[in-house]
Amino acid sequence: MVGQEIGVGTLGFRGVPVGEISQLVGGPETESVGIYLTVSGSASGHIMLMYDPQMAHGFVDMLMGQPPGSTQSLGDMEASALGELGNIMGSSFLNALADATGLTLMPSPPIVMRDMAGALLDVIAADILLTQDDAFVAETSFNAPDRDITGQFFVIPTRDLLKALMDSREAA
Amino acid sequence: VIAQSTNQRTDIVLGLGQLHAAKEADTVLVCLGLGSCIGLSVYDPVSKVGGMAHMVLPSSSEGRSNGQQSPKFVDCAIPLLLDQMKELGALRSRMIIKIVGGAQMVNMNGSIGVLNIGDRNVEATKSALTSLGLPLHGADTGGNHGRTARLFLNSGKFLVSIAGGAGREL
Repeated sequence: MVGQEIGVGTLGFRGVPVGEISQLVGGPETESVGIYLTVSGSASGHIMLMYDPQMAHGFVDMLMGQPPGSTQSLGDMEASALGELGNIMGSSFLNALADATGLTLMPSPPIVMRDMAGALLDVIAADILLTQDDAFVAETSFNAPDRDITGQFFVIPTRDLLKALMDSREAA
Repeated sequence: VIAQSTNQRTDIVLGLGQLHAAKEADTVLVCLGLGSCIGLSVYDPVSKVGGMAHMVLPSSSEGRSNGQQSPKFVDCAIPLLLDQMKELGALRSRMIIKIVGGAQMVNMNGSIGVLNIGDRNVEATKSALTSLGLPLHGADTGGNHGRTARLFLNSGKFLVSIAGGAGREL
């Protein structure tokens, strides 16, 4: 679908208080497009890709082979294209993680939303805050060779996935 | 709690699981980008004491929450906020109470997340207020969109806004 290589930066986990995740995307009231997937299998977790709306439109243009600036709003077609991006990013991340750890990790179908960043992140915050106050967030940027597009990719493991990651790292 | 001051006013922005009571007239209490969370606003128009809580989860005593005592839970936040307001001179019988938030941001079957969290937060808030004998004076809850809430302590004005929209008074 894309027909071009998308570069992905290195992923490293760091601890962030759940309430401060939205600061990584400009604050809780900043309007954002979120592509959300859950992780299930050997352990569970959340994946959220977040962009400002302009950037999300740029991604749709890239994915649909249109000149930059063509997309001005998010309809069903555009949301579906972004969902596909979520599928590609989520699966490749989880495959890499599965290869490194031996865990079986499966992504859910993606959900594409546009709203205030805080409201989007509540989906994750409610689940994480039930058991702990800090989230481990893997943040990365990625880019395409012919255009300047970067975005953030949050991977937020629940406690059982984090423990599984730690265990497999110790075992290695 | 993040305080941002200008000449005219001080905005006190409450993060997830935070609450604040104040009586300074230039204070505006703010919850930004509420999704499934609840913004609880309480105001005593006579003493001009106001309070707000940004609550994330319904109950400290169910399932995985495992008895943690924290204002991120509705059942912990409400009594704590009312106590702090009473210390500043607010009277229960005069309290004007409004809630916003409790949206259902995603609708996933078999989600690993907390199911129907928005609805359950609204219900937990209403039943906690009822059991304390406190009436609810206004609510803008549910749906599938985020909200921002602002309480102005000089007047008791309570504004709710959505992404890309102007605020409206509740």
